[in-house]
Amino acid sequence: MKQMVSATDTAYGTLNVKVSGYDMTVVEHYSQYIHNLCNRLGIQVAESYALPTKSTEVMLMQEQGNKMYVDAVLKTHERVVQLSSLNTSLCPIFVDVLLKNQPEGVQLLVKEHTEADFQTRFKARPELEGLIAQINQ
Amino acid sequence: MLMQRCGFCCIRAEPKKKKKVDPRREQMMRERLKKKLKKLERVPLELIPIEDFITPIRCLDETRKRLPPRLSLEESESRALLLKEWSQYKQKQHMAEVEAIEVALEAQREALEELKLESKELYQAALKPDPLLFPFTHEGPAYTPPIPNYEAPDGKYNDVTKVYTQ
Repeated sequence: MKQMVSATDTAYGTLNVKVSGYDMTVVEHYSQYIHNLCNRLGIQVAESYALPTKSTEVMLMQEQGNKMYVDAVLKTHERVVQLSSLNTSLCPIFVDVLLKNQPEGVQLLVKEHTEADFQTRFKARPELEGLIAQINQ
Repeated sequence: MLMQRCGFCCIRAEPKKKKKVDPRREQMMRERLKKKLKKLERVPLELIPIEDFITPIRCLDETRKRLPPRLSLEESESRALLLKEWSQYKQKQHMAEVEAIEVALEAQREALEELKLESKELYQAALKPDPLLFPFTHEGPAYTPPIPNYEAPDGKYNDVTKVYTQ
């Protein structure tokens, strides 16, 4: 993992611009657009990766009974563009351009990068966690 | 002599169970667990595979392949002209956007210069990052406004994402 940069007096630290939505092509194209915009404006992009796809089952109540039936399976796709640093003066213009070009059905989320965010990309290790719990007991 | 022996046996028998055996066993257990932990920690973390990037097998089916349709000359020419018009339109859009960004940057730069001349403290404060800005969320626009007095059907969402373990 690349080093996390912390905020200074004139710039923000490592930021995650997360684009999520149900339509994969729109989400991908929007994240590519953000990446190109950063290259054009001189903002340094640390990483550009995809988070695992989340599947959600939509259960609806039946009209005549108390049972639920599966209506549809929706897949939420997420792409992350990680910026190593963003100048405070450039930030409002950057976010303004992002908002003006945001397509329908796509949610934009900008937040600081944390270690927990990094760990969500990896597989869970139940044995390791079990051992650590045992040792700490 | 007998009394002394009794006392000696008693002192020996009980502390053996309390002091030596339990801590030894506990230490052995802990060492084993630590060795196991070290072995597991050496294995590098694996990334969760992303379904988006794996083509489903039914798309690689050879029997479903089709040849592209044949186009007449006029059709292909009109398509080429349409493509050129579209690219010109998109280029104008792009140049307008780039120009708008440049104008905004220039205006901001001038404003900051003026602020610097006015007061240095305000200038420094203007350059400081905003801690309340993040996390920042925004929903994309919708095609239609929300339907008035809409009654949503009863139901719930279930998260069925596949959990991968190493």
